[in-house]
Amino acid sequence: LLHLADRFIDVPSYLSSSALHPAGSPADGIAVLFWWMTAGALLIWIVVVALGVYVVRAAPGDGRERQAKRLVLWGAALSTVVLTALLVYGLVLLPRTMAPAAADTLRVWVHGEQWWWRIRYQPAASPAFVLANEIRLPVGRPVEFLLESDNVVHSFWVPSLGGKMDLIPGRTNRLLVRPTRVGTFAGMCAEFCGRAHATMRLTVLVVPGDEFERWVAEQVAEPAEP
Amino acid sequence: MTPDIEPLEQAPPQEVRQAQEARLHTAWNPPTGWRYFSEVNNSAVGMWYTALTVAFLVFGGVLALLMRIQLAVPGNTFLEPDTYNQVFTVHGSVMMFLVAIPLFEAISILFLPAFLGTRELPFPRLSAYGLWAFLIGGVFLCGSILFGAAPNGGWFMYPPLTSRYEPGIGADMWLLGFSFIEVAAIAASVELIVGVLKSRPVGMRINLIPLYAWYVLVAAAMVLFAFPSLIAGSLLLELERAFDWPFFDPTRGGDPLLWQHLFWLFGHPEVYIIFLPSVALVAMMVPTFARTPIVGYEWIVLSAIGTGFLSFGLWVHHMFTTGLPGISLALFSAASMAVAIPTGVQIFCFLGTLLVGRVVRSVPLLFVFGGLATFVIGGLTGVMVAMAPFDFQAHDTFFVVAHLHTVLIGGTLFPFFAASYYYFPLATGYALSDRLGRICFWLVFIGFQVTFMPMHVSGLLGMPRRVFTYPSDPNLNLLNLTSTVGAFVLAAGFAVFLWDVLRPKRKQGHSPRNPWGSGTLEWLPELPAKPWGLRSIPEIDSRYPIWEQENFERDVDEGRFFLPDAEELKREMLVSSVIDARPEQCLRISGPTYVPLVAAIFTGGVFIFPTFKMWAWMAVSAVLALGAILYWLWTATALIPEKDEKYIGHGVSVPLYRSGPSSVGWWAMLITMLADVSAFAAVVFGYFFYWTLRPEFPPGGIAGPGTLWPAVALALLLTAWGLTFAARRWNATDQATFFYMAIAAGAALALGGAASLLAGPWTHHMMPSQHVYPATVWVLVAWTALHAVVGVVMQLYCGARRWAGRMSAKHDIDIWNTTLYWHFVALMAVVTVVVVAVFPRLR
Repeated sequence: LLHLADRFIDVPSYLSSSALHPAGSPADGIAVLFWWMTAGALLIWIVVVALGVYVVRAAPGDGRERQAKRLVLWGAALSTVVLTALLVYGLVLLPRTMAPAAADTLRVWVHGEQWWWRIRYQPAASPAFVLANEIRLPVGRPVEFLLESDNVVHSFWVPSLGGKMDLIPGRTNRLLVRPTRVGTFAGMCAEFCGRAHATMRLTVLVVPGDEFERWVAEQVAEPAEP
Repeated sequence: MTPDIEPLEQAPPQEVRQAQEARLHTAWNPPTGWRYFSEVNNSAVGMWYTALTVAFLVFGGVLALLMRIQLAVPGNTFLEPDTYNQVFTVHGSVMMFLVAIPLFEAISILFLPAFLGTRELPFPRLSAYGLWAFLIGGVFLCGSILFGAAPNGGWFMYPPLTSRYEPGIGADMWLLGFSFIEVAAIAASVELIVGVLKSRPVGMRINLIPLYAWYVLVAAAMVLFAFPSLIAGSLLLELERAFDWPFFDPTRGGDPLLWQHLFWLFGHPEVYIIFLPSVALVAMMVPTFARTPIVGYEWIVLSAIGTGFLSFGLWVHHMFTTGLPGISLALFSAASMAVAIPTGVQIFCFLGTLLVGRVVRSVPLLFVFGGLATFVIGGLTGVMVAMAPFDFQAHDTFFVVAHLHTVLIGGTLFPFFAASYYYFPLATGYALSDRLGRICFWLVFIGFQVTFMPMHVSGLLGMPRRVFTYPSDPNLNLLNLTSTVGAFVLAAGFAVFLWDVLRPKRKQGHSPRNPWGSGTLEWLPELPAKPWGLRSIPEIDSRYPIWEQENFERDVDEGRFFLPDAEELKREMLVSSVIDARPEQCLRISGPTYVPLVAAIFTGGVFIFPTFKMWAWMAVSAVLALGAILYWLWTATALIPEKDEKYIGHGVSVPLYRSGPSSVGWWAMLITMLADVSAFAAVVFGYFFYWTLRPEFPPGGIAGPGTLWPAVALALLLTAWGLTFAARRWNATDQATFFYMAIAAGAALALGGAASLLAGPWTHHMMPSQHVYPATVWVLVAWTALHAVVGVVMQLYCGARRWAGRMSAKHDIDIWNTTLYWHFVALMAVVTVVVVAVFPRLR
């Protein structure tokens, strides 16, 4: 197997990325929602399969028809209750992802290219600067990504921080996140965008606030080549 | 007609019965030798259709294995990125368009007459036409991957990737090839709907219809409203690719999201179009193995209908990450969860049925339970991704790959395996092996779980869909390798199934009649089945006639019911009323003919030649296709019979010819036009999509079509419509001169109307490639003008029919159907003119 492995091309080294180990909001809320839903789903699945086993083994007898009808009615009623509860709980999370940006929000412009990410910062009162495939964020501060593309549809996704949002030609989409943990996280394009879609990835470095400010000052002083 | 007809007290004498059988044999026996392929009978066409679908399933499966080999280890170079992109595009497209949908149509063409206790479906040549179209289109699309020319933009074909970034013929092939196949699928749906509505046996009132037929009715109706949206979208996208009409180009007013709406307006109902007929198969098997009638028949029917309706309100859940407002997300989240309730009701009804009865264990039931355990997982992950916030993470990742395969394989492939083991004796006369069935089941079941369960995790660990490779990471590596191993186990199970189907079976002898002891009609035929199906067409007063009607098999076999004979040596079937199945007509249907094959070849040319920009060949092909279809109609449709009525037994005589709403042709026209109007509605939806999206639509500086020419066109087309209507009346009252004058004037005015429609944008120099506004106006007027021209052909056809003595005052199917068609043309003309001429004035 190792011999085979030698034949394979080099791939970028793995970066941490997991929707299940969140390092920001709303990924943390979504992960909790996921675990609740998974637990509930598992329970329901066990009940249905157990029912399946039971109905095959149960001997026919008096009153079975009434039981069968009751099974259908209770099944429908319980599904409705469970789904409604879940809907209410899940939708409460929605406003967090779509609220208007707060005053101290950092704005980062993300432009999808074929097949890389053009990242633009626009600090107040200083020139903009541009990077490729790398985003640096201060921990704890809300960030608004402004997502644009003038070629094909892409989708911006950093699983550790939050859900994804599409970059659609002719539109500007927003995505709000707030990193809660310092670290290096992987991002990727989630919407098929052509030949090298698989390698359209980016790195997100979440750093302490003062370190971020120093970095911005350096970038402004010496504009980076994209 | 009294509904409680009893079978004859005495069987007809032996020699009478033998003579009847000889005549039935002459009428129904399939041609032999190479002429066998001119057969149009449902049992032959359905069998080829099913076999072809399974062949495409194997092809799609091999592509899946190629993908799993590529993804077995990170950084694999087994497939080039371009090849990989073609492979996943073709895999998805083949499985959707060449497997999932045709499978239900193929099985229905094969068995629906048996479920309904009739001998044929009302339009055998239409089924054959659909089959040949499917073969030509399918082979064309699959073949392209061998030349590296296959589409590679994903089965969802999102522009601008597919409109401006995919040169080559791949995307054109997808758009045109699948439109061709979708037309064939709509044709099959027309056949199935009319089949369920109009060809039921005497007494099979609407509350006795077998559940399978109910489900097929719902699924086929969904095809009518879902597919046209994609056909319209494909038309717009192909116009952008071929002629630079900028429907999806935001720099000229277009919007890529319109495609996504049109695609998923088709794509989500599609899931239920696939799923419902598979549930239908389960609904037929469960009562047999529970030895008791189904629990909650009415609930199941209502749930199926409810699912059908709800499924048209879910499409946006495929677009949760496109930046839609929160209120849309919430509404579509709620609707997506609501659809789980009717689905649950159906499952609980099946479990309830098994609870009531004493369950007989069998291979089909094993697959049903494997499917249930799997499908429920998919249903639950479906509820999870229906939650918009969770979908932000899961969307377009391997989590969704796992979810959709769990739903489709659990909900469709397992029931298909179950039905294969269950119905194989009915189709071929031989049973499949129980032992191989169990081996197949465990390989498929375990292989499936090992393949797809890990994908839930790899998706949430950040593995997006449609990637040809992934970065090396201990977790991802292990998960992917596991999936690949599982895929091969699943494939091994499939190989066992194929061997079981293909292995020689002569030695084992024929299966006994009704081997599972079922109570439903489809198990009535002797095995192997005779070419005529049922010896006589029974009277039904139960959902489980074999269980509940005394001496049922004997009475049918001895010809004690209806139509036990074919006196004129013609293929005949009973047509009955929609609600209470009173016999209305004895319909003569076509025997073997090559016409559908020829028509399908030329229709194929109309769709295939434009792929290579061979416009002249396309025109030639279109003319030949029209010629073939006219020949088809002229020679064997709406023939005037030698007598008015025919005796079908039990003191009942029914007409041999009926026109208007009691004829099957009128229903077929109505249903076809509903699909046609849905496609038109999708184009109109496009106009108003831009209208609401862009405050400057129509944009300043670009002239509209004005009001003069559209108004003239509307006046001319409405007059032509009125004249068509008048022509029908004058034909019925035998005023031949008035009839011919109305036809001639109607045709002339219709042509004038079509030209005036086009004159609006033409005289105002509207350039379709300049902006999406002129492009949309051109599509609307061209659509309606084309329909008017087809209407002219139909008017002239009616004139010629009467002239040739093939239509008369009493025998007037052609003009009835033409009038019905013209109602829809009038509707489209009004909408088109109001949209293009009136709406610009409202801004």
